[in-house]
Amino acid sequence: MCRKIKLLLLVCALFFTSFSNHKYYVSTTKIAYVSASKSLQITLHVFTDDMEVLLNQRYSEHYKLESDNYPKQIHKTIDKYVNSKLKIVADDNPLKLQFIGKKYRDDQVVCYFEVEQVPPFKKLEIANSLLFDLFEDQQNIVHFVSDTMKKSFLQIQGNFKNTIFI
Amino acid sequence: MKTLKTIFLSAFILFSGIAIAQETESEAPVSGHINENKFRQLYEEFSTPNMYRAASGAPGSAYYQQRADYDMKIELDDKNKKLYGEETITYFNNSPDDLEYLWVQLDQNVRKKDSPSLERNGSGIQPFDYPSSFTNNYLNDPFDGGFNIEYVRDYKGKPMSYVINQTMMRINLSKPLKSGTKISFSIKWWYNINNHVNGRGRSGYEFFPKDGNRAYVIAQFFPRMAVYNDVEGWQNHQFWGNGEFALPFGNYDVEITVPADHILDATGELQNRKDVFSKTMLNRFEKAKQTYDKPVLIVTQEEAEAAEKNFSNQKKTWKFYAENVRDFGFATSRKFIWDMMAVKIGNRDVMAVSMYPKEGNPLWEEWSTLAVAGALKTYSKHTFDYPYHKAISVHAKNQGMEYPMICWNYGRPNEDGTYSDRVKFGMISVIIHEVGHNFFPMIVNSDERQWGWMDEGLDTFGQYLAEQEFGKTHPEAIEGLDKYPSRRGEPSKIVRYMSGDQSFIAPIMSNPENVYQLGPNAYGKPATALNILRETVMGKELFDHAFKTYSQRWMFKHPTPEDFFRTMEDASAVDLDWFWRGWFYTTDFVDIGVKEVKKYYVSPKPNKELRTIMENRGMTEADLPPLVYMVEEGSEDYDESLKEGDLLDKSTPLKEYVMDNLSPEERAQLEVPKYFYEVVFDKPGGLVMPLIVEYSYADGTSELVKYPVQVWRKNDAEVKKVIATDKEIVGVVVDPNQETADIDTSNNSWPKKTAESDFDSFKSNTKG
Repeated sequence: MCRKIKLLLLVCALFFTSFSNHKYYVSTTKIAYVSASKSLQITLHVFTDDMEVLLNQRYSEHYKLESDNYPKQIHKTIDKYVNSKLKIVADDNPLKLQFIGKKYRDDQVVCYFEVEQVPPFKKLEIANSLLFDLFEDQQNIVHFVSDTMKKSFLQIQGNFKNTIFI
Repeated sequence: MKTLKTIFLSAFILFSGIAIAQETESEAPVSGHINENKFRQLYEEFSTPNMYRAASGAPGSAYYQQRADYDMKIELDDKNKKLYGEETITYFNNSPDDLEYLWVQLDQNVRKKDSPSLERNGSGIQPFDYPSSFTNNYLNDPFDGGFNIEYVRDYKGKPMSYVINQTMMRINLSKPLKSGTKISFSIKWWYNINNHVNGRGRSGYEFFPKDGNRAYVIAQFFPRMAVYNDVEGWQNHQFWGNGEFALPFGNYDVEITVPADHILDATGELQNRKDVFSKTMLNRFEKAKQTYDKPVLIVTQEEAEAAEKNFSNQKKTWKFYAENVRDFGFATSRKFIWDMMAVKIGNRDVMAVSMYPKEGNPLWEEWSTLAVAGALKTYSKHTFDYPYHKAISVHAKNQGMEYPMICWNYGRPNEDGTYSDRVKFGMISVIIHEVGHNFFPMIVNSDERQWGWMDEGLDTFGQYLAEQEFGKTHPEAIEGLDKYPSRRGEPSKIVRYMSGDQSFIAPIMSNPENVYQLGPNAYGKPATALNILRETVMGKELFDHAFKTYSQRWMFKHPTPEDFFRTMEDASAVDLDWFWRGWFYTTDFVDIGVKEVKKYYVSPKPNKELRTIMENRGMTEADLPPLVYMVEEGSEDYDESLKEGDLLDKSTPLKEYVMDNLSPEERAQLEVPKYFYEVVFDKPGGLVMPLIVEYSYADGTSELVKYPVQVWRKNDAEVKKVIATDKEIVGVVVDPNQETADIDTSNNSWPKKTAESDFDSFKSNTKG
């Protein structure tokens, strides 16, 4: 906890200007388990410009995300990237996330992933290292929601694995 | 006598009901409590009004403020990235106090090698580190910043004693500066200018490697007087980086010497235009003063590109004079393109101005000056006519920052000149925001060091109004959209922040150094709160008048949060203590829902609840006065026949009362409802808000009802409302237009709507 706050303060230190643009690196990942349909629904909020820089640097592309010039390639690249960085393991079974699609909301890109046919589990491990390869002060906020519980984590460099016991 | 008996009986029934309930609970005494009502007045949080600050929220009869005039000669050494200055400060002590010493702010010292601000945050060894940050943290020689003070002298040229504590310098006076007198002293200084792009500074230069030039945006560059006032004494809270500035007003006489081929603009009126403008520029300037619809170029892109290659060794001095400003900033470079146009504000002309390197085009030539003009118009309408003669928007990479009459703004197209809507709207928005800062805090001069939200929150609110108006006056800017896409201001946009993890949220009434998420905390949430106040709580007319009153009362003065809170109430007669307390002093959120809806009919017989009470008290129906009985649909006393026929026939006491008391004409006009509903609203959230409810009826009509926020004052958890109507209710929705920033709308509807989640609706749209 103490460490988390320290890191948060560090991030706040980067607020030097009276800007109205974001200059902190945060993503939000909501993971919802819907027991009725046995589906794990994952909604990712990432700043569009962060995602754009990431994809272009990591995969040597020249995407302009909102223009959506190469929709299929962009879709594939995001799918590949997120699956390599967001690891979810249910009762020791690693899950493959299906990329459903994305939309742009304000200055963020919202990505929707799903894992179908997930039987009820006792343990869920979540490791989210999205954008850590780009920003050392990236923070990933993870919310888990099921019919019976709600839990939130802040994941950062060197400390990005959490396990939920249900 | 009969009436008296009835009262006793009703009282008896009422009390016995309570008694029954109590008997079932434990007998342990409940301990007392202090006043925790959400509607209690803010006496504990507010200081007592006094002669300096009145209870109305206006400046008091003994209100005073200090004044600091500056006479400065500044020189830029472009080759060595150094700035030199000599300044004479004349400080007027208008306070009733004698001052033993003066405090001067040395903001540049935040960049000193040994600055404690570099160490203000915790750090820790991570299992791994990035080479870049490792180098920055452990290998790099830090930038040699901070003021080098050559001397501090009194008006006779004698050295004065001073002590520097981080970013504050105390000047010791040989004898106190008496109330009502003034003092002049001089400071000579220089410092190394930082690269603001690397260091994310508010002031500095950007280097353009392709042509070898720098664009300077220079601010907090000179030792500045601290504020002395009735609330803080000396405001000498150190500059740590987040909490911005607190500055007294004064007049500035400033000469700035830069390379002769630079283009420069600054706070204040240019005094020697003929010396620094070419003939062509003068002609264009004359034309710009007459042009109200589009900017006129004073320096073209072609001319700026030619100037980039010069690197003149000659110097040129630009002279400015500014009256009644709290600060001074300037921007200078060979690279600047410069355009201007006139804007009518009241019956005066104000110049809207933009300065940008070619890297800003084509975006900047299209939108910057228009955005400046739009901001001036909207803000003037909601506060006071913009009192200065110009407002300048300067393009600086990655930052938005404000000074009197001049501000720096981001928004850069790709190298090939293309840009996305996001970049365009980001740029228009930041320009509106930073120009808006002329009103808050440059003129309504709040203390940013202590209260970030007082200028950022009010300004972001103004920004929302100005953006929406800009969208209306410039439909070509928002082509394809139905309104300007404001990032902040609408209630729904603050929901994610307010519903977030409470460990990382601070109340708005916090010092900006100590909050976790400064953006939503000091900008988004207060702006949204004011927007909700305007549109939902007070109404536009009452709000606008009060907001204008606040602005005009504190124009060219130093307000505190209380002055704002008090004025908004004083000018509107709307009691807002509950609103300030909830939205500004706590991290509570709005969550109001509809819990259940019950349907009742009038019945000839008492229901079970009443019968139990009667039995317990040994009473029969004959002992009761004439009463109208209600029975819930579906309960054991209910039967279908209650639905049929005339309501008056169901209750003899009611019919008799009507016959006895109303004339036949009145009886004929009686509106007799058919349905009685008891609607239970609950409030899982901590904030109280007006209860906005939409009732839909079986005939397809609907009705929007707004219950005042006061419905919550005696019961914070839930409240019931009875609806008597001749139409059947088929739906109840709380806050149907999402006006209140309700963080959970899954409980807002009856019958409960299993609202499709954002995920499901996206998925079904994708498939469909």
